[in-house]
Amino acid sequence: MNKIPYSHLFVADAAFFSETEQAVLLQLLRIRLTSAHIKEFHNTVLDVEFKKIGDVSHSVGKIKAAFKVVPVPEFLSDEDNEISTTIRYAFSLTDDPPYKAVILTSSEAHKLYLENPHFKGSAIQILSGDSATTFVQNLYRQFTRAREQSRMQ
Amino acid sequence: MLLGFIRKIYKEERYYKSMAYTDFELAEDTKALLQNNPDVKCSDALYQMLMGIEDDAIVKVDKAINSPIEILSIEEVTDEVFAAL
Repeated sequence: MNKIPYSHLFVADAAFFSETEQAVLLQLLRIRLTSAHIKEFHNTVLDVEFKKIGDVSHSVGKIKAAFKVVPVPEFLSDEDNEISTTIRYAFSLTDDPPYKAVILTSSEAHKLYLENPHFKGSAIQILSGDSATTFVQNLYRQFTRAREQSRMQ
Repeated sequence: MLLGFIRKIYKEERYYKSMAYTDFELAEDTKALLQNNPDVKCSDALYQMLMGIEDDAIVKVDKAINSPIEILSIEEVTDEVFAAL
């Protein structure tokens, strides 16, 4: 099966995992593995966020399967605002294809991202709740279509 | 002699634990690794098992990163396996 040039990369914060279903994580794993972009960085979570994941419904194993835990890049070592860190990290990913990223968060934290002064431009989207689930499902449909096509060949 | 044997197994187990990591891959990517990198070690039983898995299935692969890479186990990730992670 040909790898799929998905339109966006995913960056998650700790809050996202508190309201995400297991099925969505499995779809995110599938998207990561079938990405035409560097699969290691298609779905990432910063280690500072990963360490905050407490008693969520998903075990760490599922999260680590769907997302790569990455260290905070050096250029963000002086950044002390967690929301700004995630936004600036996501922007750093838009330096390469597909040039767009989605930050997945919780409905509660969503507003904090929108109000952050670093959140500008159109390369980054903030999604939570149903809109996050729908977005992931739409990308996942690209995979199911590609799989059907490859099975018909 | 028995003590020496146990020590050897214990040392090997510690060695593999220290070098092993788990990767999630498409089965076709693991097959490509084995077909294109002749240095990768994988038992015949695991190889045959992998070849029987659909290309687009997700597999959980335990590897030991030594010289060369060694595949220690392969498991198809079904909904049930993912739920148990």
